[in-house]
Amino acid sequence: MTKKYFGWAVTLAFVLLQVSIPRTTMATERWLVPDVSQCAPDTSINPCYVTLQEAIAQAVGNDSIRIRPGTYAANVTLTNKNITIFGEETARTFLTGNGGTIITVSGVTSFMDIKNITFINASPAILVNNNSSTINIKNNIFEVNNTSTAIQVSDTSNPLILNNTFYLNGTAIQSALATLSIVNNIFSGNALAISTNVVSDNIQSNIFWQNSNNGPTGILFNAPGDVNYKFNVNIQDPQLINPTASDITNRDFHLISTTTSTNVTGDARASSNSINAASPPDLGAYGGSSSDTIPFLVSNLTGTATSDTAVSLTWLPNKCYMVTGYNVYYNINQSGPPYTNATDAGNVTSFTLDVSGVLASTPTLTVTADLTAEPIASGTLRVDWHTVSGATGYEVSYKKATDSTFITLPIIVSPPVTLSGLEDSVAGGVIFYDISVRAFYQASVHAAVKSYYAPSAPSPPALNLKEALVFSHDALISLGTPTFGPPSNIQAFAESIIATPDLPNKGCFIATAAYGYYSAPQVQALRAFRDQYLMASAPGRAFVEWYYRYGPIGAEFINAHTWLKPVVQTALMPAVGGALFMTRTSSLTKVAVLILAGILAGYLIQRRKHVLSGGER
Amino acid sequence: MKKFILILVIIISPTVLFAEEPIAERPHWSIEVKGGDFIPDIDNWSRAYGKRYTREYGGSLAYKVLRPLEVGIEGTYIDDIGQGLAPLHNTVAGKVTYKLYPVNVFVLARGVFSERQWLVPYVGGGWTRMFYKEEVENQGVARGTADGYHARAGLQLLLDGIDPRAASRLYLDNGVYHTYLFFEAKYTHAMVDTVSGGSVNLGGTSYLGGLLFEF
Repeated sequence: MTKKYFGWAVTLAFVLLQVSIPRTTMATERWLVPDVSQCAPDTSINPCYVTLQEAIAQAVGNDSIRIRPGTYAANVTLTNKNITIFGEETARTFLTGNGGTIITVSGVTSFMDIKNITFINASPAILVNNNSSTINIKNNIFEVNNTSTAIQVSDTSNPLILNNTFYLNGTAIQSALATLSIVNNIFSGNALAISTNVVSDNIQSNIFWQNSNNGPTGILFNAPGDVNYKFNVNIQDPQLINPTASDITNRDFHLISTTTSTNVTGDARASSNSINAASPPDLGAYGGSSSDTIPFLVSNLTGTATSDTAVSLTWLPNKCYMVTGYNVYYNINQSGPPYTNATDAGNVTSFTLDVSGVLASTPTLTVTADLTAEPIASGTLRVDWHTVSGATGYEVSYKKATDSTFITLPIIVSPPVTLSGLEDSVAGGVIFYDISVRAFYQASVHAAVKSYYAPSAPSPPALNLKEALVFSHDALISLGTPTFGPPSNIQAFAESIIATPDLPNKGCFIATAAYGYYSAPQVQALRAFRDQYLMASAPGRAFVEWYYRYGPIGAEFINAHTWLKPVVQTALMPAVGGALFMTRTSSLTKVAVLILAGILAGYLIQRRKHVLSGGER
Repeated sequence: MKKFILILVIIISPTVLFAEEPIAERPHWSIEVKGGDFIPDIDNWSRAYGKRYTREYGGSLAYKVLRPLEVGIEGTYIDDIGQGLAPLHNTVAGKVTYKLYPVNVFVLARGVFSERQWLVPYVGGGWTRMFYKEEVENQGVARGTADGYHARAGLQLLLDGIDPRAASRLYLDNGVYHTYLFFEAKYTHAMVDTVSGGSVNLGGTSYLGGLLFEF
């Protein structure tokens, strides 16, 4: 076989090998996303799920599940599946158990990781049992509940709990295993840090701070030089940046850059201020080799113009030890993101941005063409026009034709604009308004800032490094003085719109409130009485007008105090009866009933006189 | 009209003649789901809403007093979005959302003479309460009701024969005796006074199709 054929044969064999490997033997990275718009570009390579349950059900051994930032409710069991589960960004990847267990690891006998996740509201967050082995729980934040357990481990060999931050839990770790390694964790503010009756040498290099109970006295806090010295520290504030923010997504468990809790050599009490991006600490959720390196977003960005072509930006420093600089993103005359320009500001918190290189010259603005104004509701006009090239906004002014002073609205970005609160015209009384629109131009800078992490000093620009995933808010800074185009003017009037068909709003306020619905027969009876009798006379119409003015107030009161409804219903009973009698009976019946009532009344009066004069009852 | 009746008799007769004798056990209830077009009986409707008709959806529940006679209640929903009128400008303007919720109590007579009759004509009618809601954007909402009547007629096509096994399963599993496909025409009349004076019929003519389940 010649070299040429040998090469072809090797290539062919390689291709055949690739296509013949069963899919299930190839590790697949599956994505868990808060919504399907965040799936990977190719879901045949990275299958996409919206629940952890579904992702685990589909996963096979050696697969991994990437959890994109978001909050997910989960209650899953891993049985005999060694799957790595990891969050994309620890601070914004939340798993909640809604008070129950989030992940149960049962009978998993080969290497698996659970890392870079924030566990909240669970009991416990992770439960490992049933002959599992070699389970690594690392670089997570546990804030499950101040009465619940974060991690519970039993019946497992060689588990490792490494580089986690346990904050305000009931019990951080519960286990009686001698082989359980608990290393480089931060236990802060927990009721009980470690619940165990077996204290081994495997509990080492952890910081314990302000826990009500650190655990059994056997945990070794001895001084260096002691035989059993294991580097655990219980007197030192780890100096987390902001663990108490009211919004859970703003809680920052990074170590502050000036923390003394550094431990690059395994000693949690290493000398102070040795921390820097090149030698990060190995403590807590953001320490060690598996930590995510995504900084928090920048806050409190403000800016002012320092000239017609430059702005000064300032923001609050991100105190994380990882943050080594800031990138400034900006657009001219357009908000972001996305931003079309970027520059590396370096490790500063105020920066002067010169935009002279990207600033266009001031355009010549033309008149706003095809200005129209149409009524869209009572007292309302919608004013529209064609946009003007180069304009960054429009100034709209209006006044009643008989007035002398225009009212000018704040600059709007684009048409149309709605003028409301105008006086309606009526037939025979048209009220005209003068409307004026002119194009507006003012150069502006829209800027946002991201912090970044560069382990070694970057050569500017330091873009595309490990940046914060989220921009700071967009700061708008105006440059120079505004210019205006020539105005367009129009005269228009507003009027009330009549629907097709123009149906009445039927409301008998108090009775409707009392009986609950407009079509109640009692309400209909009262309405019929109003139409047939009250509206037929001047005093009746005056009463109706008075009632329509004050009735809604009474109805509102009745609706707010439902116990009044039966009372009002009882009070209205004679009125309803009278209305029914007056509207549903013939004239003859009315006369007959009146005569009978008169006779009865006469009889009763005579009888009463007789009794009063001493006669028999 | 005579021709129409003659054609109806010609269509119906074979289905009756070739149908088997009625069985003792029969359905007592039925439900309908239906949808179609509603042509409002309102002048200027097209001008305001852009087309002559709008959509209507609904359903009904009926109890069979006798095999060919049932009473029931029907509710449907009709809505459209259009424009109002700016009379001084003499143009349509603004945005109007118009919704009707007719509730019908009806008596229905069905020409059913056998449980296997594949074509069943029916006719019925009854009392209507028309609930309405009309909103002019940024201006206000008008709500109310109007009483009236309705009448409807249509044809039901028995679907059981298309897939007898499925029909049998539907009966055994869910107690559904028969499934019909039907088409009907309905006229509704419910007058209400308008704000500007005069009155308007909120009803109109509907052409509906749907499925009827007897159980």
